[in-house]
Amino acid sequence: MRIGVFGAAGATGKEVVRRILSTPGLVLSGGTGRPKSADIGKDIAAAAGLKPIGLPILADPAAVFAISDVVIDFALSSATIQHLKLAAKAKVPIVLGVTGFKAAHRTAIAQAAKKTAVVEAPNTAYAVNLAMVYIERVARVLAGDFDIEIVTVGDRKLPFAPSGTALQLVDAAARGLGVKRDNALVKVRDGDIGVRKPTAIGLHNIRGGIRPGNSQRGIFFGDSEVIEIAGITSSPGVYADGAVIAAQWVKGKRPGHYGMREVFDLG
Amino acid sequence: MVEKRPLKVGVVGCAGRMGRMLVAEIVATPGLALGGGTEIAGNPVLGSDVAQQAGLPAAGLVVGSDPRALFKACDAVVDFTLPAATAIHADLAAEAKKILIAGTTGLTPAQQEIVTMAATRTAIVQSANMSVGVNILLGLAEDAARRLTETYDIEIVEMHHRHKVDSPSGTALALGRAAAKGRGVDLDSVKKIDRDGARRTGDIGFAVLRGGDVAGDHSLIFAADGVRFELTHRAGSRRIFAKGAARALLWSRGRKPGLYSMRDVLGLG
Repeated sequence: MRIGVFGAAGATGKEVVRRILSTPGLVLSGGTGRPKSADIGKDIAAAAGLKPIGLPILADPAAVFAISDVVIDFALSSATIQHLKLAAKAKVPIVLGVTGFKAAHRTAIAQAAKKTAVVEAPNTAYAVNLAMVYIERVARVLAGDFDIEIVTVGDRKLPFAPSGTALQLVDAAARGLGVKRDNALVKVRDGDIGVRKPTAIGLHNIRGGIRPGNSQRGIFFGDSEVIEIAGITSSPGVYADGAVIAAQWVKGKRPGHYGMREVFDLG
Repeated sequence: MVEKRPLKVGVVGCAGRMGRMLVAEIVATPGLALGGGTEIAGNPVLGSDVAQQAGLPAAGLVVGSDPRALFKACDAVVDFTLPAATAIHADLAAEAKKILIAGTTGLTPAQQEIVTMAATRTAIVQSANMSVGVNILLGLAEDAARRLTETYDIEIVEMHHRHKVDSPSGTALALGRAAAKGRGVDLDSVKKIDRDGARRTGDIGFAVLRGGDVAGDHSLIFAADGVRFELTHRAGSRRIFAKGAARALLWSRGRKPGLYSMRDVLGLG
């Protein structure tokens, strides 16, 4: 199975390259780097700290689609819409490990998903996806009795908030409570905020340090008791593991919009 | 719409620390009504008002010493007393066909058999820990241990007040049993409560902290390379057991005879 990697010179992209090269049955077909960056033309394996394999990092994603069965995308979100269009045209499934999507990205995912399989995976770590499933389940059982707050911790370099993962956690809680995200999400508390609504879902985005151990935590505050469910990642290799599993899963799938929950069969 | 009559609930051992909390919770919970309370013969509180004992306005119900009369007067009875008494109460519940909520711990096999037999004739909810949060954690612990592969090491951390005499806590051991069950191993063969050296593959380690007036914190940690998964419960007071009992009472109304647990009450399967 031939896998292409977008953002092959990034922290997670390099880990994905290493995983593919060390997994029997998988072939690294090619990869891209940021256009006009110093990474273009470098050997893809050498960039990941391995022995060169004679495969240069390209600037053109279309060339990678042409030689791949599946593409894993850990490039910047500014390139995602173009990648989705190319995936649809080439009818090659794509695993999106990218985060920071806006409305235009949503439309592009929906469009591409008519032509090929798209796995939207702002967080590919199994533990984090398990946390989401449990947050939804517990929210359903405790709806009305417990207050739900989501707390995420991220690297100081993360240039936006909330992260796609944080919003996925909020959505999981909202599904459990049976409410819409827009009616429930509370991002700011400042001043005369009034009494907390039982259906509110508070979101807190902590930023600091370099690889501080990104944590995604759902906290349920009841009367005299608290439950916490947390997935904590401290290495990009964990995301690479999940992305490669997603690539193996999505090969041969019908066109559609999928998530890690389906990849990991989390019900 | 016809308003449903509240469930009339009696409390055995109603003047003890847990009993008073149960009385207060029943009075405060919509859908439940206090139906009376008992204490053992000779207790000086006999004849006083059940609600007043719990620090509430008088309810016109005197503390009695005859549990059989209490079962007769109520729809359901809550029991957080002692194992020997719980076995007797289970028989009375079966005889009167009334609901029993039993939060008693440490029943002998013979006492448990009596409860199990009684549950063939009436609905009994029995749980060693009635807290909603702890039961949710136990359910998730087993599921998580089944899903997270052997690359994850399992450890349990618990903290309680400085006066606690047993260690690790019953809840910490229950978490360990749930995790071991999910892994398909026997807790006794992997339990490590006195680590003084390197970790052995497959161990479930317990770290026990004691200090201050902590009511009870428990964390179950799954740790692998570059990733951790954590389930935590923190108790603020014993009131959570009374809250769980109230939830069990509301759930048990109209149930067929059977021995149920808090997992059934919470729909955790």
